[in-house]
Formats: sequence, C-alpha cells, structure tokens
Amino acid sequence: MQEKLQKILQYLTNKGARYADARYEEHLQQEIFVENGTLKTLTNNFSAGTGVKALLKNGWGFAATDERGDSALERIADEALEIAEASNKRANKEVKLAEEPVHKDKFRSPYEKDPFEISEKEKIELLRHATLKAKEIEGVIRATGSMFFKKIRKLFVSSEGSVIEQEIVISGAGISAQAIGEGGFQARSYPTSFGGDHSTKGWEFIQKMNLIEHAPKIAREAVELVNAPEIEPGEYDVVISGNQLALQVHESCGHPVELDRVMGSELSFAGGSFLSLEKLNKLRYGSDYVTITADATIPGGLGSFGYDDEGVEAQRSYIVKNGLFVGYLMDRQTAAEIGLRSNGAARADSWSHLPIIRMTNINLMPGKYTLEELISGIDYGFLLDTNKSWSIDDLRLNFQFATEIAYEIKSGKLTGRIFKNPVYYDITPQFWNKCDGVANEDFWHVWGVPNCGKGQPMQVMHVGHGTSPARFRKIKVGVRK
Amino acid sequence: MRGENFYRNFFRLMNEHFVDIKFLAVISNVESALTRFANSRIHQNVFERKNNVSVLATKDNKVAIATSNDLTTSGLRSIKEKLQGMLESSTPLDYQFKLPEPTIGYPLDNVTEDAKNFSPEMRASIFDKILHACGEDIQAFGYVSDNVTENSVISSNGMFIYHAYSSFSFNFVAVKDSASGYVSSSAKNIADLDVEKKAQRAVEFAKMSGESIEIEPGLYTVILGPEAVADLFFYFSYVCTNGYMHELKMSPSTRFLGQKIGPDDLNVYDDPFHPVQIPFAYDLCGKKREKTPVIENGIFKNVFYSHGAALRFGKSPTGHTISLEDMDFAMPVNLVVEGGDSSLEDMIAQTKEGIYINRFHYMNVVDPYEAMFTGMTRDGTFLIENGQLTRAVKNMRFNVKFFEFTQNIEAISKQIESTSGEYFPAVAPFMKVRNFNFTSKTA
Repeated sequence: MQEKLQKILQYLTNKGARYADARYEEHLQQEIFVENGTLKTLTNNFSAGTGVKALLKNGWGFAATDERGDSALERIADEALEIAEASNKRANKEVKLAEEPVHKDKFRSPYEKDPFEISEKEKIELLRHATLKAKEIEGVIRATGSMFFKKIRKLFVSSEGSVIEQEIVISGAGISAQAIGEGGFQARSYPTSFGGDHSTKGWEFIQKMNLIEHAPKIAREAVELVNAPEIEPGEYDVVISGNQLALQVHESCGHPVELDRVMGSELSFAGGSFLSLEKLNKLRYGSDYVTITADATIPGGLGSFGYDDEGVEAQRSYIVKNGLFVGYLMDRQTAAEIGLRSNGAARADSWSHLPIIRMTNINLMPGKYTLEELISGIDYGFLLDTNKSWSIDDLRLNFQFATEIAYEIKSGKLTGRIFKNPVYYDITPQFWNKCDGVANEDFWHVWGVPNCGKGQPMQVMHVGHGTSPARFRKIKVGVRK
Repeated sequence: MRGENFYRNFFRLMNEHFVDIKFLAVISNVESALTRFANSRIHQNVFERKNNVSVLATKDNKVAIATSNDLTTSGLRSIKEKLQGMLESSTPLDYQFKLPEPTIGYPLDNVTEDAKNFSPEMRASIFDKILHACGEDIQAFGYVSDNVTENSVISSNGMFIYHAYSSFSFNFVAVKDSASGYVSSSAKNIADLDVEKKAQRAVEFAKMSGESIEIEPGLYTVILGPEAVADLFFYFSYVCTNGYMHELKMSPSTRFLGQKIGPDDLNVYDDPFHPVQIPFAYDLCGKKREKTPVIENGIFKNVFYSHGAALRFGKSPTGHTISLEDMDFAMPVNLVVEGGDSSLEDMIAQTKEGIYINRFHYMNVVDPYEAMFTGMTRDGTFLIENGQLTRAVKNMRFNVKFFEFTQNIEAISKQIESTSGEYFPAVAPFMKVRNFNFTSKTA
C-alpha cells in the first residue's frame, strides 16, 4: 500500500501540488448492547479506504474512496486536484504550513489484552450479568449495558517524506439503570453516562471497571431518585465529580482553544470562540488552582496517539497555567498563522474525512486535596455527579449542565440525602475563577469521550479528559421552570 | 452511481453466498461533496465515495449484524464467516424475531440531472453568489453540499428495493463585526435552494444586528424563525415519538399521545413526498414510507414503531427503522411542520413587546421524561417593540418544556421554508409563542 500511496503523491506533485498527503485506514469496530439481560445488538463493522489531500498553489482539495485498485486511487488524486483548482481560483490568502520534521515511524497504542481476541460470549455474559444484577433491584424497569471496541490501522505518507504507521485500539463500556414512578423517570450510570468510559487500552480496561459489582448501587440510586426532591434554585458551593468535570473541560475549555474555531473555520456549524488571539497570555481563564494541559502522550488516554493525521508527533502542551490562558490546539496551517509549530491536534475520524483540529486529552491537572477535604470546606452545598445533559453557546461562554444526581453536603459532610434533576449554569471564565480546590492525583482519571462532533461533513472523534473532583464557590444551581 | 442493475446482481450474489442463512441486507453507495467557506474564502473542499453493506442475519431467534465496505465476493465471504461465528456467540431475543415481509416496490430513481453533473467549480460558483450578496462589509461563512445516495434493501425471503436520490444543501452565516445572520436550505434541485434570496436575508440580519443590548431573563413572547421551529420539533420527534420508549412508559408520549397539545392549526407530518423534502422513500427494513401525521389539528397523533419494536409489542412497523444496529429505535426523518393562516408581517406587527429569534444553537434534552429542552439563541435575535424589529439582543439561554411551548403557540405563518437541519432536513413555518422561558444571559 505504501508504494501505491507514494506513487499517488508523486502523481500529484507532478501535476503541480506543492503539498500532498495520503492516508490509508482500516477500521474494525464491535458494538454490544444488552437490555435486562437480553442481548439486543451484536455488530461487527469493517471499513477501509484512502483519503488524499492536495494543496494547489493556495487551494486545498480532498477526495476519498473505498475502492482499492490503482485506477481508483488515480481517480481520487484527479478529483482532489480538480477540487483544489476550484478552491485556488477563489483564494485570497497565502496558505502556509508550519514546519514539521519528516517522520518515518511506527506507533501502537499500548494494551495488554487485545479486545478482539476476547470471545464475544465472554463480553455478552459480562453485560448480561451486570444488567440482571441491576434489574434485581425493585423499581428498576430497565437496565442496559454496552461495550464498544475499535481497532484503527493507519498508514500516512506525505510529499515531504513522512511515512507513519499506527495502530490504535479503543475499549469502552458502561451500564445504566432506569426507574420510573410517580416522581417521574430517573437514570443512574456507571462509570459514567452515554455509553460509559473509554480508553486506548485493551480488555483489561473493561475488567477493571467491575461492572457487575457496581450495578446494584446505581440501580438503588435510580430508584431513590424518582421520589427525591429537587434543589431549590439558588447559588451554592459545589464539588463537581471527575466524570462531570470531564465534560465541563471538554465544552468550556477544549473546544474554545481549538484555533480553527478562533479563526472562524467552524462558525457555520459548531461556532467560534471567546478566546480570541489578543487574550493569549493575558486572560485569567481561571483561578490559580486551574492548570489545563493538552496531552496526546498519556498511555491509555482516549485522545492519545503517536502522530496526528498531518504527521505531527504527539505532544504535551499547556493550555491554562495556574489560571492564565497560554495556549491553543493547532494544526499546521493555523499554527503557521501565529508563527508557532503545530502541537499535533489535527485528526480525521476516518479515511473518508479531512483532518481538522480536535482535542487530544485535555486535562485539568490534579491539585493537593482529598475529596473529603474538598467536601469539608463546604458549609452547605452539593456534590454533583455524572452528566445528564449539556449545552453551551457558540462562543463557549454561557453553559448549562444537568447531572444525574446531587448529594447534599452539610457542615462539611455528605448527609446521605440525594436530589434529582440538578442543573448548574454559568459563564466560562467566571466559573473557572470560582474554583478553589482540585483533588489530588489519587482521584485523577482520564475519562474517554468517544462522541465529540465537529465539522462539515460531521466528524465524530474520540478524545480524553484527565480530571479529579474540584470545588467551586457560589454556582447557580437549578432553573426556573 | 452504480445503477439499479448492480444491486440486482448483488441481490443474486448474496442469495448464492448466503444460501443457508436468513438475512436482511442494506447496500448503499454515497457520493458526497462539500465546499466549506470561512472569512469569505474556501478553506475546506472535499469529496467522498463510500460503499457499504450491512447484513443482519438471524438463526434460532438470535440476531447478529456485520457491516463492511468491501463489496467483493471475498468481502461477502468474510461477512458470512463473521456472522456465523457471531450467531454462535449470540443469545436469543426476548421476543419472536422474524425478517420483514418483502416489500414490492418499483425501483425509484430520484437523482436529478443537476446532481449527476455537479462539479467542484459549480459548488464554488454557489459560494460566488453568496459572496456577491455580501458586498464589501460582510464576511461569509458556510458550506455548499451535493449528495447522490443509492440504497438497496434485500433479503433472503425475496425482498428487493432500490432507491436512488440526490440532495443539495447549504448554510450561510453573514458576519459584520460582532453581528451575524444565518440561513440554510436543502432541496432536490440546486435552483430550489433559493441561495440568492436567502443569502440576502442573512446579510440583512447581519446589517440590522449592530450593537446588541442585554435583556433580563424571564418569560417573553417570541417569534421563531423556521430554523428555530425546526430544531424544537426535531428534538420533540427524537424524544417523544419512539414507540419502543412509549410502550415501556419511559416517554412523554405516555401522558400526551392522543391529547390536544396545541392550537387547531398545529399540524406536523412525517412526509417523504412533500415537494420541499428529500424523499427517503423506504426505511432500512424496506418498509415503504408514507405521509404520516405526528400532530394533527393540535392533537399528538402518532408514535412510530421500528421493525423490532413492532414485533416485540405486536404493532405494525410504521416505516421508521433508521438503524439496523438499533432495531428498537424509530423517528420521523422527513419532518414537515405545516403552515398556518398568519403572515410573518402581521405576527410582528401585532407584537407590542417581544423577541424575534432566527435560530437556536446547541439544543439538548435537559429532562427526556418532561421533554424539557435547552439551547441558546444565535445569529439574529431582535427586540420587537410596537410591531417592529428594533434592536439586536445579546444571546440568551432558554429552558422550555415542549408541551408547554405548544400550548403557548399563538400564531403560525402560512410561509414555510426548508432548513438543512443538523441531522435531517426539515420544513417549518414562523411561529409566535407566548411565555417562552429565558433562564440566563451571556454577559
């Protein structure tokens, strides 16, 4: 394949492309879904194809096909050129790419047990037992469990001489218990909602979740939540759990630091960003407790890889340092615009799509507290746990999150009382400046978010967020209905 | 495009290869191109050609699905081997599964000549028109897209369905300093996108927006543009019309189906054959789709049953299976919110105090059981004072319960428009609504 792709690049440069790259990818994917002990979905998907990108003067063109012959590859090379020609005719700015060393390398995400070597029977049985365990709890009407596995093989070649092979394995799972009654419908999930937690690890990651062990607890909580009270709307001190903070970081930090959003590339769909260029190294994004990194090198992080889809090596960089906003996520073109090297954030979700700036692992770095110490600093407030819904404006300022559950805190201790339908909302920099403590590395975990949508055509990317619980003062909780 | 004969041959090939397996297969070929522009220049410009075959196999009341984009005979062989292994590992369903009854239907080729010959240069010329509408002081952001899709549904019990269709869509955000306007559209023919007229409206919004003012959260009378209306009804259809969740009593439909939820002129249909819609003529189980009422004369009329949910609950499938992987899920994909009797001009003129909302951003479900949705305003929000749009308003967050929203509908415009939609194209009118609940502001 490498030879075929290099031939295509030669063809493109002979036709006048000043830069070109080609990516061949194979995706193997398995999904299992179980409801109340019954297997509902067992799917295995295979997809393979080639995407070719060409820069003709100052116009980009990209074309992709899943046909495999030489003539099909030549056809998409021609299509990429024709598209680039149409772009170039209307170009009004020089396209520059940040310098990147030539890489000839192979990368494999580290894992112990290949999930595709584990029998389907074993996976199904694990989910069946976990859901039946949850269903045993009186009042639970539906218990679901799911698993997701993916193996991605990529070959990237560029006209600059890079040749990079990668294999990335993804494993994820989660369970949910749902209950209904006079007080409405409620759900609890483990280890987190919307399909659970995901990682670039193998079957060992699923085993460590102990899904069966955790099923009764979430089931009981779902039932108790049905008749639990709602929080009286007001301002409260809160501790936000790591799994909810993962999404908070995702929406209010990860997306606004994507430099393509800042420069307007996403304005027609996902939106822009409040983190405009003049704010770099000046804006107090958060309090001193808030340090956020972009790190694609964390073993097991769902946003980890060896090289991005522009052939840039995985890196770790600061986004926010002790509250100060200091960095963006960049690809080679946006990095060049601000005179920097790309920090390796350009990824495509398949062979058929163009790489765009995506989060890697965007992490709220751990602080020095224990969870108990964070809670002990609250006179009256709540511990908010597990995401239920999210929404944020097009500049990433006004956000609102709902969580599955709120645990009451009184005089520095959890009282055991729970509240349903908690909703909290704020404005991004104001919120992060209210942070006055982050739990330490013992509580830190890289949560996998497998469904980050961006771009047109829409791309769904797997990203990670390292978080531990953190405390925030005077947060608005509850909305008037 | 491969053409109908390719799929007929594939039908024969599959029946030869899968002679001892009961199966349902969906084979598709998509050729899709998209030109994206930002800051008044083309920055992403792409084309993709994709094949896919998804095979659902069943044995001893077990079901397994394998999907591949390798449509060669060796690709089919490996799908078959995979499925045989999966059926061994699988466990039986808790209801009696059977393949869909074969549908008899003429092959449908709804691919327009426009679409067959559309080139990158033609897409870029649409961008040129938008740029022309912008003039000197407006920046253009958006996309133009053309698609040709072929779908064939075949089964071991003799089903053969072939349907090809094409579509065009675009959106455009006009930006002037911190002000913006937005339009979108989807259509079967390029001319029906109405690019120039719509682009002009986005430009006018951007020019009108100017310095925006901040207003306090609270209950307001609002006039919603078709984009905003389409979003609200999309989320309603997603949360409230799945028959499977209805039967489990986990959906708001449990309390609202059959009830009068809005005014007499509130009519919502799933209509694949509406002149402004993209014709999704068959669902993924080969069931022919018909025009079906969702809300009629203000009454919440129907929930929808996928093939799996219909078998499980003893219902008839309604032509809304949109995923083989999730045979329980159903939703309407050709949503048409019909027009009423009012004119937009009158709706505005008769509003003493209110807010005009062009579109929403990042809507989501806060509470599925209550059908409570949240989202932000974006790209064209204006104060209405004494019957006129006066000043632009800074973006606001809303939280509304859908069935309270419908009860508060005051007027529906005659005029309907196509919108490109985030997931599916939708057709919607303008609506005037009381007591729209804004819960926070951006500042």
